Amino acid sequence: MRAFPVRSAAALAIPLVLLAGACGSGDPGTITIVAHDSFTPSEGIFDAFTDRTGLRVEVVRAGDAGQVVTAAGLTPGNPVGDVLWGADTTLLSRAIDDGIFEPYESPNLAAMPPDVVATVPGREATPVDTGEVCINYDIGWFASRGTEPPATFEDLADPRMRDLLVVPSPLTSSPGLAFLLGTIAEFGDGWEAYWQRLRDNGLLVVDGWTEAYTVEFSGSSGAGPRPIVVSYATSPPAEVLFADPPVDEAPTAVATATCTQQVEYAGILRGTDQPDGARLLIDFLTGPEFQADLPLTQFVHPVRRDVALPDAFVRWAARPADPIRLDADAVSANRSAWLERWTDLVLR
Amino acid sequence: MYPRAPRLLWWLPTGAVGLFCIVPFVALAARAIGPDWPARALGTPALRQVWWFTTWQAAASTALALAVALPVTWALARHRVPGGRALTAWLTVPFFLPSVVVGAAFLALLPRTMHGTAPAILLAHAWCNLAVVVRIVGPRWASLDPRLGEAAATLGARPVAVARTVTAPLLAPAVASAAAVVFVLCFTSYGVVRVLGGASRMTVESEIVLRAVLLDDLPAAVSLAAMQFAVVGAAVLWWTARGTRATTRPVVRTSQHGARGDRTAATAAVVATAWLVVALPLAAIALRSVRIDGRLSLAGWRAIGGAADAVWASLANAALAAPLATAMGLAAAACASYGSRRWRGVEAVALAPVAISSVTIGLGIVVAWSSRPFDFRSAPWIVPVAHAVVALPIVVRTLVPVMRAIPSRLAEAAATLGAAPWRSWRTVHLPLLARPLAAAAALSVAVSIGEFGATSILGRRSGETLPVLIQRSLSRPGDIVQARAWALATLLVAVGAAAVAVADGRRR
Repeated sequence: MRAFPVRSAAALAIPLVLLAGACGSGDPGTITIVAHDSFTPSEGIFDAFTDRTGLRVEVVRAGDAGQVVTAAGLTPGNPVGDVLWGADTTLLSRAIDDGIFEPYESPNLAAMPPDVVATVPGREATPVDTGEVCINYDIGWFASRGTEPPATFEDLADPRMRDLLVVPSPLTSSPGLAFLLGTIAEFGDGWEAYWQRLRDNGLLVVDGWTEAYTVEFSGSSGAGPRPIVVSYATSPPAEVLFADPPVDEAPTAVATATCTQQVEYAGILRGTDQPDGARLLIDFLTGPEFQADLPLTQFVHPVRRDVALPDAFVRWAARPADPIRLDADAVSANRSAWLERWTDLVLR
Repeated sequence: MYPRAPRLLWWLPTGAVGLFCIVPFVALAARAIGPDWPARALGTPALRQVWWFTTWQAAASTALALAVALPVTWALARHRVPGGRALTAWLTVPFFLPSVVVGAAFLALLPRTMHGTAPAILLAHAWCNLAVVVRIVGPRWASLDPRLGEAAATLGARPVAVARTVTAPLLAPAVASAAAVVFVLCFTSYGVVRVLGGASRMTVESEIVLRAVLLDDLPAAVSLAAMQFAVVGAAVLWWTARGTRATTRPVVRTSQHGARGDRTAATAAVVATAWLVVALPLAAIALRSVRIDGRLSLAGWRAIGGAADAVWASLANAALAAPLATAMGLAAAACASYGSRRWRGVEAVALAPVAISSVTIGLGIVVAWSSRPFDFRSAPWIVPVAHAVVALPIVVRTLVPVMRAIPSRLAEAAATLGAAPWRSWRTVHLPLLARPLAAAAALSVAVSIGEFGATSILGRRSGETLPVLIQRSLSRPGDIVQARAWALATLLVAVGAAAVAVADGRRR
C-alpha cells in the first residue's frame, strides 16, 4: 500500500525526464528565428542561406508581435531561439529595455536610409522593413458622389466627412495604435481636441483591423457603409493583386499626408549559443534576395533602398516622401497615459 | 466502490494541471505581484465596471444557452431522433470555431444596428456553448429511468408536475454542472466579446491581455488574473459542492434498451429548429467563401493551397490532446466519484485550468519552464499537452455527474459474485460510461481544434493550425485573401465536425 505514491511519482517523473531530454538539446547546425504569426516568407527562401553557410533555418511562431516581445522579455538572456523577427517601433524600446537583444552592426546598414538606421543608435536590433499606416478611401464612393476624398488629418474632422470614418481601436489593434500615435506626433498637445472633433464628427471605433476594413469599410469585399478607413499604404496593391475578376485599377487609394511609418526590426537574442550563425542570418534577412521577397509575401516595404519593387507596388502602393516618424522612446514612455486618455475621450 | 482507484490515479490529472497550470501561474505571480494585488485588480471605478460587465454578460449568456439547448437536449436524450448522432456532432461545431470566425460570422449575419451591442455577445455566446449543455446534461437525461415519471403519471401527476417534481430534481446536478462550465467559458471569453461588443466593451480577460501585452504592465495583468482565479474558482467549487449534495440519490436506468419514446410533433419541431440555429451563422461563413462583390466566385477555394498541412497539424494536435484529456478527466472523475471525501480535492485541481486566464497560462509556462533540461517553451508536445489541460475541466464536468449517479449496488453485486475490482468496473461501470466518455472525447477534440488563447504564445515549430491560418488570412486585405479565409473556415467546420463525429464513436 505504501508503495503507491512512490510508484506514482516515478510514473510522473520518468516521462518528464524523457520529454525534457527530447527537446533540450539545441542543434548546432540550425539557426532558429522566433517570429510573429505574420512572418510568411516564400517557401524555400532560406535554401540559399543554407547553401552558403551550411546552417539550416527553423522558424518558431509564437503569437502576434506584442506576444513575441512580451514572452522574450520574460526570459532575457535565455532565449527560445537565436534571432527574433518582428519587434516594431512601438515595441522596440521595451525590447531593448528588457535586455533581450545582443547588439550587432550589420554591414547591410549602409544600404538603408540613414534616418531609419538612426532609430537604433545602440544597434541592439537591425531594421528589416517599413510599413506605413495610412487613411485609405474608397475611390468609387467619392467619384460617384462627385466629392473630394480626404487628403489630410484635418479633412477627417470636416463636417463633409461626417459618419464616413472607421478606425480600429488602438487598444487592440496595431494599425489602430500607429494611427493614434501618428495623430499625436502631428498635433502634439492638440491631439485630444482633434479626437474630440473626430468623435463629434461621427467616428466609428471597432475592435480590430479585420472588422474595420472587411466589415465596415465600403471599398473591400465586406462592402460596408463607411468609405474611409485606417489601413496600410500597401492595401491598394493587395486589392488589385487579389481581385476576382482581375481589375486594371485599384479600387482604393491612400491619403499620403496621413501616413505614419512603422519600422520592423530583427535582432540577435542575447544568450544565443550561436552568435556567429545569428549574425550571418541577420545579414541574410537584410540582404537583397530576402528583402526583394518581402513586398509580395508580407506586404511591407523592404528597408533597403537598392531593391526593385514589384510592378503592383510601383503603381498602387503609396510611398509617402515624408511619412510621420515615431520616436520609440517617447512612445514607450507615454503609451499607457495616452491610451488611458484616449479611452476616456473616445470610448466613454 | 473502488477505494483503490484514487490512489492509483490521482497523480495523472494533478500532475498535468500542477506542472502546466498551477506551477506556471504561481511562478508568474511570484514574479509580478505583491501583497497589494487585490487593490490593483479592483481599485478603480473603471475596473469595477469591467468586472460587473463581465459577470452579467456571462450570467445572461448562460441563461440564454440553457434556454436554447435544454429543449434539444430533451429531444435527443428522450426520443429516437433520426440523425440524432449527426445533430449532436453538428451542435458541437460552434464550440470549436475560433472566436474570430464566430465574431465575423455574426457580424455578417446580424443587422448593423446590433453590431457592438450586448445582445450580439449573448447570442454568439449561447450559440457557441449549446454543445456543452447538450453533452453534459444529455447523458444524465438519457439515463433517467422513465418508469419514475410513468409512476408519477399513473398516480395522477400532470406532465408539468412530473417535470417539476421528478425530472427537474434528478437533472439539477447535470444542469448545474453545464451551467457552471458555460458561465466560466463566457466569463473568460475574449475574442467574441471583443469582435461583437465593439471597442468599448472590455472583459476581465481582455483587460489582462491589454495590460500584459500592449501596456507592458505585468503586475496589473497578473493581479487581475489572480482575482479572476479566486472569483471563478470559488464559484466553480461552490457549484460543484452543490452538485455533490444533489446527487446523493442515484437513480439510474441501468438497462440501456428500449426506453426512448418515438418522435412526436414537438420533438420534430425542436430538432428542426436546432439544425437551423446552428446552420445560420455557418451558412453565412460558407456563403462568404464563394461570394466576391456579390457574385459567385471560387477564387477563395482555389487559393487554399497549404491548407492540407494545416488540417493535418490541427488533427495531429487533437489526436494527441483528446485521449490525454479524456484519460486525465476519467482519472479525476474516478477520484471524485469512487474515493472517500479527501479525494474530492483532485476534482477541484482538475477544474483549475478553467479559472486561470489563458494568456497567463501561456506567459507562466514561458516563465516556469525555461531552463534546461526543463525548457518546454517550444517543445513539440507542449501545444497538445496544453490543449489537453485546457479541455480537462470540461471532461471532468461531463463525467462526474454520470459517475456519481451509478448506484454502488451494481459494483457490490459484481464483487459478491467474485469479480475483481478491475473486472467489475470494466463490465459494469465502463458500459454505463460509454456515452459520457464519447461526449468528453468529442468536446476535447473540439477544444483542441479551436484553441487559440493559451497556446498562441507558446512557440510552434510544427505546422500552423487552421485557426492560425484563418486568423492571418482574415487580417490581410484583398478580396481573394478574404474569401480564402472563409473557405478555410468552411473547411474547419467540415474537418472539425468529422473529427468530433469520429470521437463520438459508435454508440451501441
